[in-house]
Amino acid sequence: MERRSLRSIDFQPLRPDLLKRMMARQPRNLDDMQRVGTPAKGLPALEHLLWSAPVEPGTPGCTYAVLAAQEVQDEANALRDAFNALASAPLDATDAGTAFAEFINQWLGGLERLRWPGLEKPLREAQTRGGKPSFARAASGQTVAAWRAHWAALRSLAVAESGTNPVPGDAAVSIETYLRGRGQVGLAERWREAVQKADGAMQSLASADTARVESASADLKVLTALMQNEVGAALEVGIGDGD
Amino acid sequence: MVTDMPTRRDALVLLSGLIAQPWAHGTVNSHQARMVASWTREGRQEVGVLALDRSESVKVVRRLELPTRAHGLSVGPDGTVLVAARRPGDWLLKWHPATGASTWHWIDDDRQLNGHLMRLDDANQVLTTETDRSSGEGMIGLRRTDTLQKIGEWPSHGMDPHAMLLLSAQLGDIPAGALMVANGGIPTQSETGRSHRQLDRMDPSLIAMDPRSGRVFDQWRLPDSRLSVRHLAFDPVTRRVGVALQAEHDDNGSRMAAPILATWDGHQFSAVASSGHSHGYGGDICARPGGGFLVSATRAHQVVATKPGSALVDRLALHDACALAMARGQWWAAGADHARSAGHSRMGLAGFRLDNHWAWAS
Repeated sequence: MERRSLRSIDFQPLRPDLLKRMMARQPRNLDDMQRVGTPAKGLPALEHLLWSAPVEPGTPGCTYAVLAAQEVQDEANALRDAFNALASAPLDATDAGTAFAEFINQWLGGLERLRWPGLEKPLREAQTRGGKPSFARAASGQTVAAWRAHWAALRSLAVAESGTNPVPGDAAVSIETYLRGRGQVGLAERWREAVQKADGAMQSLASADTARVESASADLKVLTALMQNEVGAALEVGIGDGD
Repeated sequence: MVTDMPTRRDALVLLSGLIAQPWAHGTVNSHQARMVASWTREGRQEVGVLALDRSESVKVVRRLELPTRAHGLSVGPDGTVLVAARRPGDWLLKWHPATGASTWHWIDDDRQLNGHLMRLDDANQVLTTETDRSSGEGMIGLRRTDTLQKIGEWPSHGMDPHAMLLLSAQLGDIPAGALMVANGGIPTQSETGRSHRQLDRMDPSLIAMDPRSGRVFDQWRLPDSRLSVRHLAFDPVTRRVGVALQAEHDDNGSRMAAPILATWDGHQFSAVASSGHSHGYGGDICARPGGGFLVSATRAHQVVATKPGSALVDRLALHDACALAMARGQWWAAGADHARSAGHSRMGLAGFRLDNHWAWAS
């Protein structure tokens, strides 16, 4: 959150005009890249330079792509180190409560990022603008793979692996397990069922087929509503429902 | 004393020692009203025109499906409806209910819509409250009404700007026509969607600025920084701006007892003490016919009325009360399952749930 890692790794949508202007500056090292705006870097920029407008090896454009990839790698390393540091220094009760609330809201933010800008918004935008939906990662053909990877991360935090209990300090505790720990057995069951239904819809996405994308989005929306209306309250976490 | 169980009573409830019939102000010879609203029905989000009359239920006259939940809307003199997506929003709509013509605008800069818009009366322009996703700072966007394309923007001088109001009379040194903006003051971050973060950094304010340049006239803050400034209405009788508040205190007791209304008279910006719990959530506000304000205390399932001078005078039970409007000397309120207005019996909202705001159409 503090590093704004999501923005620096995967700012969407890419600004091709800005990318062109930044490439014209011919950055030579990571210090030079510090002066390049986030909308012209990250995975979308790499995809553009490798698939949409491929750069030639040994050119300034290639140097730019290498530096952009290095920045993504550095950010991922920083995240890994920060998570390791967090795991080795447990928080006190007050900070843990705040962190837990942020975890739940980040999970929900991640779900909504997959459901709305990932799956459904391109469909709705195409319906109102005309033309075909513009899904992320289309140029590299990795749209479905990216959706599945995104969902797999959410799913691993949402429900417990069947028949296993996490060992304290050794594995992540799922949202389902937190619910069961608070005696919310019925809600935990409904949560698990909703996650499994969404999982089936996500697994059935073999391509960006409109009907299947809409179906998957609808199942993810059920999860959003369940989290906003029931699970958040059961876990005593504010979801930000005011307006 | 009104309790929190409004479904058991559908009559006006007068608090002891207060003025009689505070809800009866207004003409009731207008037997039918058309309101523009957005709602959720069978899992779908829609905007549409509602007919409210003496029949038992509200009727949907026109409707258009929306991509996500809407929030603020505005009806122009030609009947054109402008709609903003609920925060964090990424679309705007211009819709003409009579012809069905619609223009969509998708946000593709590094901004999010905060749910409200405001037409500039004498120009083909509309203002939108927005947040800079990079910095989290509030922005006011200036757009063409015909295309909804942005043609300018400036800072709101606060976080989380929400509703706006064009001042219809000079108050103090602030000229008529000034843009009043409710800076909600709540830090948000796009990674966590709608959640409220770092509430100890809250800095809500009411700001007056030039609606075409963003030049700041003045800015006011309440002493309690946990009272988020959200919605605005102007009362021409008392010549005050009423501000609906939403409490963000850490402890439940403080939230429950927090005021949901503040007023600004051109000089002083002060909260109106809440007699009885309003649960700290003002969902909408409108001027009260005869002077004062109506505020929907959504979580207390009431519409709260104040008289000229700001004192709270009464509470009307209405389950999940939220959308309010005042037009032609008459008030209109919507809750979860029915709507109310002065002199009208309850009008059912079976099958659909209205969003926070609605607007008089005709």
